[in-house]
Amino acid sequence: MTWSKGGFAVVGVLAGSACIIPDRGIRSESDDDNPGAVRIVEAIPIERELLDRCLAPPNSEEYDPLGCPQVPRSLPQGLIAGGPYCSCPGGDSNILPEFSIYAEDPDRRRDAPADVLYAVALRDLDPLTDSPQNEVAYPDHFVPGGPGELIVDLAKLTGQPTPLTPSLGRQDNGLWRFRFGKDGGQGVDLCNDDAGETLEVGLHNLQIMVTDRPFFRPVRLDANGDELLDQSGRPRLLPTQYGMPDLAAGATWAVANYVFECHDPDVRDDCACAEVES
Amino acid sequence: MSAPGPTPGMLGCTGPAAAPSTRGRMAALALVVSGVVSGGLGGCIIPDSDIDIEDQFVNKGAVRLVEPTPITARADAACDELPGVSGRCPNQPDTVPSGLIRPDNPLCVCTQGDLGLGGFDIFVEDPDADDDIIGAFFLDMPPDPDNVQDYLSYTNQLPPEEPAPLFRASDSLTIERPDPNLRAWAIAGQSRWDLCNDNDAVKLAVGLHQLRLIVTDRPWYRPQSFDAAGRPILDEDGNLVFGNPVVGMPDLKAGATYDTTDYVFECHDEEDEEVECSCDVV
Repeated sequence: MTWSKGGFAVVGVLAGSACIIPDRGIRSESDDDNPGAVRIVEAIPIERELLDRCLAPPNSEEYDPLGCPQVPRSLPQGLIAGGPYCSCPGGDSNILPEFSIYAEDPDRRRDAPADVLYAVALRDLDPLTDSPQNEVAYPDHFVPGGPGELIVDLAKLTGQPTPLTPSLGRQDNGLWRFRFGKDGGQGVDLCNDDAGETLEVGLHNLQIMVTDRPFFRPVRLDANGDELLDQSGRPRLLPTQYGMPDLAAGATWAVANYVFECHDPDVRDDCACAEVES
Repeated sequence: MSAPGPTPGMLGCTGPAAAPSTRGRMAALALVVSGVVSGGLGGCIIPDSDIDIEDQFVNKGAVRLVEPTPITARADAACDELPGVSGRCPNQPDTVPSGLIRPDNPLCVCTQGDLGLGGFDIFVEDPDADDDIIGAFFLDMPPDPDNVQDYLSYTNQLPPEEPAPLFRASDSLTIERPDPNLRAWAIAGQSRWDLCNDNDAVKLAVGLHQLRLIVTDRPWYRPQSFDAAGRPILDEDGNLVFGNPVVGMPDLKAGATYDTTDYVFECHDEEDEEVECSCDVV
């Protein structure tokens, strides 16, 4: 921040006939490159009383937008409802409709978001793995490392049952949307179309990771462990490690988890498996 | 990794920092000019660029549930090259990851009790150091419940009015961000959490269950009380009267922020011969 960055400030204050300004209530901007952390945001149940006031006519005495939902509704985290989803060699007709994940980041540059948010889908991630990039999932339905879509106007979000109101308490944190599902809203055959793979029968965990820096991309090293440079003198890079936030660059991250069960069509008679073409 | 800020008491008298940004120089120059000019006029005009006036917002920072992430060897190597970081990238402390719980031993509904999960911490951050963070569990709550409190659960593990204590600061190394004021609730402590048999002493049904955690940085919402005619009820001192806290409803009207996450787990039947329950261990 500027106040602490020069004798200019001291000179200025002295020259200005001893302006003495207490700094209580004034906070300098951080010198950190990424002071604010990314958050995945999700709607929660709102009290009926608050919703009623939110939905009251704006010119009525009952109207109070401060209790309105602040976040768009979408697929709740946790156990995915619907289905049954089944492991079918020819595909499952029960698909998960396209859904959105929303995230925000408080870092601002003037009146715009300072950070772009990126996300990746990971399946059945072992928390002890040292290769999260190997667990990237559903690349056809969720572009690994793809940037989110900044929602500029909350009021223009369609499909919301109640109006959305930005938080009373804090500055605009921006709202970013990531869509999981094929273009055109065709949804995803969860148990049979993870890059064409049919999943094992049982419980699975789909994790969406959001970060506020591009995912980590290691530098290519020579046999001595020294960085290899290209003709321009820039480091030569290896493929991006999606699922690995760029921690050295100060990236922050957040996750949302969705759990689903892939059933055995030989056991459940209500699976909707497509017939395999012979 | 946070740089020191101005010394409290007198604005900006902390000496120059290395390599100030162009934007910083411009602002400082503006301060000089304004100081000179205002000195002549007997006033004091300070440009407000890069100055953030607190109290414009009642709750500047949002609460955030955090958990560690797997780190690759090359990412650690990149962190290791940074000053102040030795060996590995800073990560969040270990915990039970949200989402599908994969316990070492199957969780079972037992006549007596189950071995359950080992104790673990749930971590929350809030940039506002003065905020108290509270949280509550909700079991198998549908998306649109009539009353969230009907699903309040495991208050024996997470009392819904108990603020999360500050976690050991030495474990909160960060890169390019200030101290996140990490807090943690110790779930089950040094003991075990019998998820399937001790939801406040109530056993769960066999099958899949979903546990939602909601955390917030303000006391839970309390509805305002009205009389039969719809007028606000006042106490003897003329203050508005409010009802009991609605646990699970962040006080959005007071500027509360919240975060939420879910755990999914399966409770097996102790009679299921295909599952090796640990009922007898208890």
